[in-house]
Amino acid sequence: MTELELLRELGDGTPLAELADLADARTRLMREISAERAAVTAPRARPSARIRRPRRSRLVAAATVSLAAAAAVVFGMLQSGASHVRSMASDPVGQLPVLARPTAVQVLHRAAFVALASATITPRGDQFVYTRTTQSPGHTIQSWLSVDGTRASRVGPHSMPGCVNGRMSMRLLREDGGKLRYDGPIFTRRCTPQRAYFPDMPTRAAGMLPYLERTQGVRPDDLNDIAKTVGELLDSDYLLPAQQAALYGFLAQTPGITVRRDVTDVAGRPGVGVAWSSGGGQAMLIFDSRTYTYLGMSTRGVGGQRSGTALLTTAIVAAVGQVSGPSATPAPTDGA
Amino acid sequence: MIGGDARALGGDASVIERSVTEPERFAVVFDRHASHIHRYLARRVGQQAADDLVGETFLTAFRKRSRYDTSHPDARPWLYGIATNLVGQHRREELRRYRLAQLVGPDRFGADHADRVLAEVTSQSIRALLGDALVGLAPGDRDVLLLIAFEELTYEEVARALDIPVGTVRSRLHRARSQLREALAETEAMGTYEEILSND
Repeated sequence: MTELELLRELGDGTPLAELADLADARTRLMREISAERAAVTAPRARPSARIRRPRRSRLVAAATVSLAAAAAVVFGMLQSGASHVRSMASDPVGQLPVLARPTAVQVLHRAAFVALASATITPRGDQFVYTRTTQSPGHTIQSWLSVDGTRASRVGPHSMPGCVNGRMSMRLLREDGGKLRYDGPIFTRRCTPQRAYFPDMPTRAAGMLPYLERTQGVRPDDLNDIAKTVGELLDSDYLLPAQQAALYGFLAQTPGITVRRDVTDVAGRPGVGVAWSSGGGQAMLIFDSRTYTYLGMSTRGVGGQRSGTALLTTAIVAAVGQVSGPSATPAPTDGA
Repeated sequence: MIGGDARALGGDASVIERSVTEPERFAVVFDRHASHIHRYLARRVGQQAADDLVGETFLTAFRKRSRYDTSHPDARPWLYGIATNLVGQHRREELRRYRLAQLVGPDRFGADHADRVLAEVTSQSIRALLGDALVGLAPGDRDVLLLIAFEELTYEEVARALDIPVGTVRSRLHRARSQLREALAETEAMGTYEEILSND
């Protein structure tokens, strides 16, 4: 058996759709065909070309203004007296002026502000990042990811061995009298540990792009690549509050993001979206409209179909199967 | 490149040629090829994204139809090219799928026949290795590899789809296959593996 034949098996299980299953796509084509027929038969006054004006300069200008305004608010808060500090911790955003129609940049800056108010917990390598997420209503998935990638992780019913000293061991499954057993021959392969927490991730927006380029393979001139990577990190991994805030601040500086108000995440929770063009559709990071906590990433395809993740719970736990932890090592209070 | 005697053109080419002035004829192209294009997209970016992108593929094709090279009676490679370009815009989704292939789960097997079970079981373990290898390929190499492995296109058809010389198709395929073999060879106990595989 060649590696090509093995690869072919990978795709073999995919069913061939009936034309009836592709009705939506066909309808879209027919609509376009009708539109062109109408255009062909009706005389056109003058051929016109649609000119897309680049919107970058406007967004950057708006971002600069909002950045200054948000910064003024945040610095104002931090400079006010100690009596504010306790109430800030319990309801950080409650101290900020209410914004009826925040811009994308304002949403991100408030999300950063709120994130920074959380206690900083530093996970230990032998612990797990537990997340409970929804990808479609009523269907929740629990995951346990090894913090340093050396222990076996679990995503829903699936597991992945840890990577120890650059090698990962897997057992072939074996069928034995109708039962499947994980005690077939062992094989090992080279691996790099898949971390769920990144101690070397910057805690400031500056330097975030090179870091994402180097460690996540993002293409620096591709907003969709950048923003989706940020969303994936937020949805699956554990980030320190300062790292989370740095990601939001970094995105706030990136041209091309827009705001979408009155959206819901894939669990149906209402929020405000920080959006960007993705393929032919749109993707967004959704935040609670009042508390600015992160809810999850959502994508809308060209046909209007939605997919994404709603983040319900995140915790650092000691073992796969646990849903609340012994606390991880709290970081020394050095003014994070 | 529209031209030539329409009666001499066969298959898709004549349909597309006529659809330039009679747009409704283009629906025939959809009916002939959409299922296969959709499956190719599903294999790379998953069912949900494929449902969206198959529509986008044919819309793009429709808008470009006046530039179709009518010396080719079969439009499918042309459509694969458009679809592959769209996959390139969904790179993260594609990579995520291959990474997920590394996860080994307990719950996919409903076969009662022992041989089929073993073949499926082995296939799933291999899935884990191949998923990892696919992530490491350069995008252009992966495009060539999967058009050949998944869709069984010829070198000439891949060259047409991706608008590259046949020589480039060969060299990209060669490089991709080497990387795959290297990834599979990385595993110890490969001998046992091959023993199992040769029993299929």
